[in-house]
Amino acid sequence: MGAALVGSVLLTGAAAPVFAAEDGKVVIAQPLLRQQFDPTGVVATTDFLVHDNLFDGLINLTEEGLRPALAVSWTVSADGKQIDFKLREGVKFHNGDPFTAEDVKFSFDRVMAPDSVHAYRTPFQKAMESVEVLGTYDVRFNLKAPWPGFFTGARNALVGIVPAAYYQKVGTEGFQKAPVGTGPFKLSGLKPGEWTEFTANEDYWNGAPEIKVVRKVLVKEAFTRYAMLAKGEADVLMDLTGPLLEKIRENKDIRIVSAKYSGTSAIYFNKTSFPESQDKRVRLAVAHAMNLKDIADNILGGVCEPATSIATPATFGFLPGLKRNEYDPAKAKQLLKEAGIEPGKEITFLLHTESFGSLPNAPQTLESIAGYLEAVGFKVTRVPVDTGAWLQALRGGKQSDVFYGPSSIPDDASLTMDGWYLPTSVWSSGNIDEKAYVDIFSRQLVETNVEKRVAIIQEFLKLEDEKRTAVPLFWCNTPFAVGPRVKGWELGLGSGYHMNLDTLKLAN
Amino acid sequence: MSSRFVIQRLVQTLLTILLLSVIVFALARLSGDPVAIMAPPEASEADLEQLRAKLGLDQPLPVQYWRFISDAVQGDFGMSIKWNTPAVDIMIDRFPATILLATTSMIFGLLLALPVGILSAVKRDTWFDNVGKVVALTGQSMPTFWFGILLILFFSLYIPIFPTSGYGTIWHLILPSITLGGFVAASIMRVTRSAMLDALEADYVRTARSKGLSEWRVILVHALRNGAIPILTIIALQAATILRGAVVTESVFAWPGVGKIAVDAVYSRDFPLVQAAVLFMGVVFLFINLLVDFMYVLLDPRISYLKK
Repeated sequence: MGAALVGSVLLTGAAAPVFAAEDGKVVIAQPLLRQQFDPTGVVATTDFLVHDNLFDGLINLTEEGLRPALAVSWTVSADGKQIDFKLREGVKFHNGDPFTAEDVKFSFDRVMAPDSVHAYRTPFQKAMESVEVLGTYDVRFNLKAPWPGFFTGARNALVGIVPAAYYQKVGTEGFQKAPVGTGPFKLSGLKPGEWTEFTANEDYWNGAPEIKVVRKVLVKEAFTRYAMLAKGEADVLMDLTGPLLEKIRENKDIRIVSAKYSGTSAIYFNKTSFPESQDKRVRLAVAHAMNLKDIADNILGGVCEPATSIATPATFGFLPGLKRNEYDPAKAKQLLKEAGIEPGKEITFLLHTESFGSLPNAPQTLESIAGYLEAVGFKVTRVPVDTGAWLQALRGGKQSDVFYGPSSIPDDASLTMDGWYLPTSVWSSGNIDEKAYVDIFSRQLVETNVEKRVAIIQEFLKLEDEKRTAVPLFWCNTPFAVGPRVKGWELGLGSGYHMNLDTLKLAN
Repeated sequence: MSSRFVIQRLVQTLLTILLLSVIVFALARLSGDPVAIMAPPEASEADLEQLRAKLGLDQPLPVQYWRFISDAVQGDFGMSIKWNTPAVDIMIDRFPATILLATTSMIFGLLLALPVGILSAVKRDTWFDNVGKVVALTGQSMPTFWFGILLILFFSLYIPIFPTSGYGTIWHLILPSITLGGFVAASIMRVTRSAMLDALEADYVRTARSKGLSEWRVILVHALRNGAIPILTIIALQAATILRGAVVTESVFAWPGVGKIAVDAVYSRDFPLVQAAVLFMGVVFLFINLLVDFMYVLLDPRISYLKK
């Protein structure tokens, strides 16, 4: 029986086509693969790697700012509590259903439903009152209070629009098996845990994609991914870090395309387990202890640059002119001495065992940071965590004394502020408790004048630069390696999680 | 072979499977809370509880275990948390690929190990024997993943003969089979050499030679058959090594087998899939051992008499 099995597999296999390097077909080798196809049930941000291709949102965020997608225009009421969208006419879903305001209401209502599992349901549930259909192509969002984050939440396929009638007919499980959107690609095949294949939507409202078939293949081993690209078996690689990045740069047939400023990061402090960190001199010492430029050049391979604040130059509210704390270990030691911290002071430090958030090469980078902290006198106990263990620590408020915090929201500094710098911030477990920040956050929330709102956010960035409650680390780009068959690819902001493959062009 | 011996070994195997199920169940839960990965950071404790209840993780451990084992004997390992597909379906889907790789690897390993092992014993302390020893030592010392990467580098990139990875044609099978087969070949080679050295010095071999039988008949029929038990033992043990090595090899070559999906399941805390994969591979391993035990008896009937 074994021989028959081997024989039959080989015989059937022998006729299998070689997928790579076929005209109009693109292979993407990636270390993670998500096969969750319901945009109203997004669990992980990596789901967007798929959803951007199958679905559309109302608006798209680009380097030039917000651009129309399924909505052609929008207006915000004077009190900031009503947002009206005029929808694009003539758009059809993959199954031929026409796109209307009912679909927008259905999609958002599902995200805000009490039993929703959508990753961003909480902010939507908190901020939104209702979605109102005003006409076939007119929809109104009623907010409980002004919420600038609405446009971030509604961008791209963060809330992808699904056809209401079809979804109700097939149900959640049926939709997962046969997803239907308005996006540039349709799902055409998959093998769970191995690959997903998409074909171009020839009737796409923004023009049919140039590439006709895309196959995303799960390849865990970094070198194998590189070999696939170098040999022409794959056309695009993601998650380029460390030695792999160096190898790619040495290969003249491979280019790197980067999504700029897709993430920012900082070092935070646990005020409970490490109360000494409430002394600004201790935090400043940590800032001066790290040679961020050296890490950026040698470990991060130029993908990241040392940050001056948690807002990147592409972020709404960015404050130019801030200076970072230069690497000065002698000054760091002096500051620690002044703060009464003796050499050998024990601290715990979370060491991510896999690249995490917006920091590529996280394990090596964080190990290097731990080394710099030891060099100025700390005795660092490294606490290795994978993503799951880190999330468990975060939920239990059991962050280490000093911990790394990534932010992958490149568009609005107030959102990073919301996630990390307020007593209610989830990601920092509320370790930063500055009344001034709460006040600033509340003021910018209700400010509808753009210039004034920028000024308020910059007030926070300036104040944070003085207080240094957290130490900014890096602004990072998200690099993708592309093979010789790829002629061009326009990546939008935040493309670490968004792969807009409809802009990918093939040579010849 | 006595029926008592067969029943005794079958009962032992079933008890081992039961023990394995307890270990798998316990280890999966020690690795962390899958809900921690699934739910967004903003999720409240009530949200987490809701999700745990949905997955049946809110029940006491004995209840969870009983549900797991009673479903498992009916072939139901639950739904994969990550892939939203019955775990057993994923195993059934992946198993042929792993069996294919394991079989070709073992064939490659045996084709390399047995002739070299036998010849090394026959040509003891010659250059051939010394080369064989170096090959065996290198094969055992080299990590599988590194060997696989080297093969990709040389035979996919520098000399582009084989595909780097994937599945589908006979060409995709060659590099992973050499990687995995090379590793198991080293041990089999060493044991074959030792067993053959012992056998070649035995009285019955001297008798066979004195009867005027050809040297190759003496080696292959008289010496090899009598030296077969340790060789068979190491082959059986290497069958387990192959299953273990498949975990690494499948990941390096993106081979869609049980090993690759098991690694992904561990990272994702996908309990149902981890349990199904480990139990699946464990059962295969135990039945290989059972088969070998029965083969011992056929090769050396004294073994079954000792059990009486």
